[in-house]
Order: sequence, then C-alpha cells, then structure tokens
Amino acid sequence: MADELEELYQTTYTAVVRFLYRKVWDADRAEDLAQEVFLRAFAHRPEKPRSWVFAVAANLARDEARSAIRRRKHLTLMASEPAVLPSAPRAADQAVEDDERHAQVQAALAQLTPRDREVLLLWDAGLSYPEIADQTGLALGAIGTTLARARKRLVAAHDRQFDSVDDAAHS
Amino acid sequence: MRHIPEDELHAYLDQALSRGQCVEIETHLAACPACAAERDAIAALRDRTTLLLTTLAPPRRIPPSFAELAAQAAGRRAQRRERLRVALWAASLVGALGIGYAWRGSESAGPGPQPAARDGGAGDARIAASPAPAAATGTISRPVAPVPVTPVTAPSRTTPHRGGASLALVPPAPVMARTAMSEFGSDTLPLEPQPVAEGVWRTVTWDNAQRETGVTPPRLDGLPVVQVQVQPSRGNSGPLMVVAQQLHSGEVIRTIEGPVADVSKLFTRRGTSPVETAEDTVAVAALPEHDRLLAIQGQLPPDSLRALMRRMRLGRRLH
Repeated sequence: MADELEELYQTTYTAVVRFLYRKVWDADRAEDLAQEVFLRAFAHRPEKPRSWVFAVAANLARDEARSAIRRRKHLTLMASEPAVLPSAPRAADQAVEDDERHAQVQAALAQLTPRDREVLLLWDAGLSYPEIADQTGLALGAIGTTLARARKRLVAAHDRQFDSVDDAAHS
Repeated sequence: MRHIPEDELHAYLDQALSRGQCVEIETHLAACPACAAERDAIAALRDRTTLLLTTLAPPRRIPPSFAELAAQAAGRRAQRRERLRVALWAASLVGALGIGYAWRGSESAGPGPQPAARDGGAGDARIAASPAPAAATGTISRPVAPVPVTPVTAPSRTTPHRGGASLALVPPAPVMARTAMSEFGSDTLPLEPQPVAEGVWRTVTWDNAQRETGVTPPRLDGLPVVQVQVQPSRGNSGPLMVVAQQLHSGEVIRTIEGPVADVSKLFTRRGTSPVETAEDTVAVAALPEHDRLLAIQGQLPPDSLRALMRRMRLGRRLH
C-alpha cells in the first residue's frame, strides 16, 4: 500500500498542485493543500487513490475559497489601515506579458459554469472519463458533451478578451 | 450515413472509448471527409485548450520527498493516537465521576438518616480509640473488643501539596482500633453495616485486611507492600481498599479498589482521602464485578501506569 501511495505521489503530486492552483490562485497555498491531501491519503488509504486525492483536493479548495471570502470581508473591514506589503516592482516585460496572459486565461476560465470548469480541470489533471464521472456525479456519457462545451467556451471567452484588449490598444 | 456526434469525437480524441468503438470511428473517418474535418477541428480546439490551461500553472518547484511526507504522516498519526488516548482517559474518569455523583445522589435521596449516620460514623471513629466505643456511638448494638493493629510505617511523602490539583492522597489516617469487620460471619449476630465517616481510613496489615474484608486487596505481584488502608463495606457494595507499594525505583504507587462511587469520591474530595495532591496520574479500569472500579495512582507517566494496570488485571485473572 505504501508503494502504491508512493507511486501515486510521484505521478500525481504535480497535477494535484496544478489542479489546486487553478482553484485557489496561490502557488504556496496550492502546495500546502496538496501536501495535506497526501497526508490524508496516508491516513485513509483509499481504495481508488487517484480519484480520491482529486476529490479531497476539490473539497479542500472549496473550503479554502470559503475562508478566502471570509478573509476578504475581514480585509474590507480593515481597508482604512495602510497596506503592510507594497507590491513588488516588475522587473521584466516578459513577466508583465506572462501576468497579462495568465489574467486573461484566468478570467476566461471564470466565465465557465462551475460544472464545466470542474470537468475541464479534472480532465487536464489527467483523470479518465469514469474518474471524472465518479467525482462530479455526472453520467459517463455526459462527460464528452460537457468537455466539448467547456473547451469551446474557454477558447471563445479567451478570444473575446484578447480581441477587446487588442481593440483598446488600437483605439 | 450517420455522422459521428461531436461528444464522441471528443471522447475518441481523449482516448475514452473502447477499442471496438475506436475501430468503428476510424473506419467511418476514413470514408467521411466531413467527420474527418470535424475531428481535426476538435483536435485543434483540444490542443488550444491545453495550451491555454498550461498558462495557468504555478511556478515549478521541487516537491517534498515522499519520505519526508511519510514522516510527517507518521507524526500526525502519533499525535492523533495521543489525543485519542487522553480523550479516552478523560472520558473514563468523567464517566466514573458521573456514576459516583449519580450514586451519591440516589443514596441521599433514599430513605434513612444519611447525615445522622455520617455523624454517628465520625463519632464512632473518634471514640473507637477509647475503651468503650460502642456505647459512645449508639450505632453498634454491643461492645466490640478493639482489634490490635500492627503499625505500618507510611512512606515519607516528599511531594508538595498543590491546592489546584485534582488528585489527593491524604496523609494516612491515624491508626485506630475499629473493629466490627472481624466479627462478620462469627457465631454472634452480624453487625449492621456501619456508616463510614468520609475520609476515615483504617491502616491494617495485609492479613487483617484480607480477613476483615473477605477479599484480597488489590496489589501488584512482586512489589513490597508498604501500607494497606481500608474502609469496610457499606451494604453490598464491598470494601474500599488502598494498597501502597514501592517500586524498585523508590516511587510509591497506590492501587485502589472499591465501589465506583467511593473510588470516584477519592478523586474528587481533597484532604479526606488517601489519594494525594501531586503530579500524580491515574489509570482506571472497571472490574467484572458489578459497580467496582480498580485504579492505580502514582507519579508515573500514563503509559507506565497503564502497563501496571494491565499487569495487575492479568494477575487478578491468574489468581
């Protein structure tokens, strides 16, 4: 069982971090949560470990989102206080471009419905159709349809944003 | 000719179909340019999606080693076990205290002049050392000759008394010549069960304790007994006994056996029980005999006390 867990860890850890990052948008937090996922896997020894780790990751990300909302409310209450950390200056144009591209895709992803987004992210994390169906509660036959819709919407949303930025630059 | 639905082409490209389905689709694609074009468009969409999602990747870092994570998991398991152990210990103690409290409540709600009986018991204890104890108490129907008691040297107690602690071993009660238990079962009429003053203990020899109570006091085999204290049975609940024994390391531990209510009181009442206030810990176990508890108390780690408890229970079974 320990060998299975080790193999799972070696093959899945990065995908779990990426999956979590796309939900919490904080690389450090995503790593913390990913480690928490695998620590729980040690304790629970799940039967279907691959599906299990992504299910737990999704739950942890959901909890994290709730607490982030609470934190934001708290920060709103403290808005009159001066910011402690000044934003770091950007060193290179490349970094700015990367950030812009990141923001555009993030915004495009945010336009998907929660179900489409979840299915797309699970597929990108490497889960099979049956595993995605198992985790999301969708019928196996609905996964292809959902993925087709999610892909089209993501690309369309991204292209709309790109076009609007392009128009703004030329006007 | 039936064209291939879009979702099936997605599933085909995602390798989510069976081998038979794939063969069927590939056969159709070879003969249908429209579906082949659709497949190419979906493949491009799929690649584009993957590319976009690649943008949303966290900075690459070296993940912690599996061994590191396994060690963390082991530490967490140990913590969980420790928390569970403490919770179980606390629950057992609270349970015992609760039973004792309920018992006490039921006793005080029952018939009979309980406070008067206690007063009588105290008077009895005070007068027991005088030449005519029975006449003074008014609760014993006939004079009883004092039983000679072999003095037992109590171990010197160096632990400072801490008011805030919950456990307490009172200094041993003065040696008293209280009597009546030895008379049970004799050819005379048995005495009525005597109300025992709370906190009044008789220090007796091992043999006398066995003879008077009719049971073997609790003890750990192989350790010298330095003190035996008893409170006789009240009703059918059996006697309350505390046996002090010295470990090879010099520490004194006390094994306590008695009715649930009485053992519970030892741990709740300070200053009147043989259980001392100190950094002591207690291991408690229920006995197969109904409504009786067995406890070990001493300045030892909880694990050691539990091991001693296991040893003592095993010894009792073997006996």
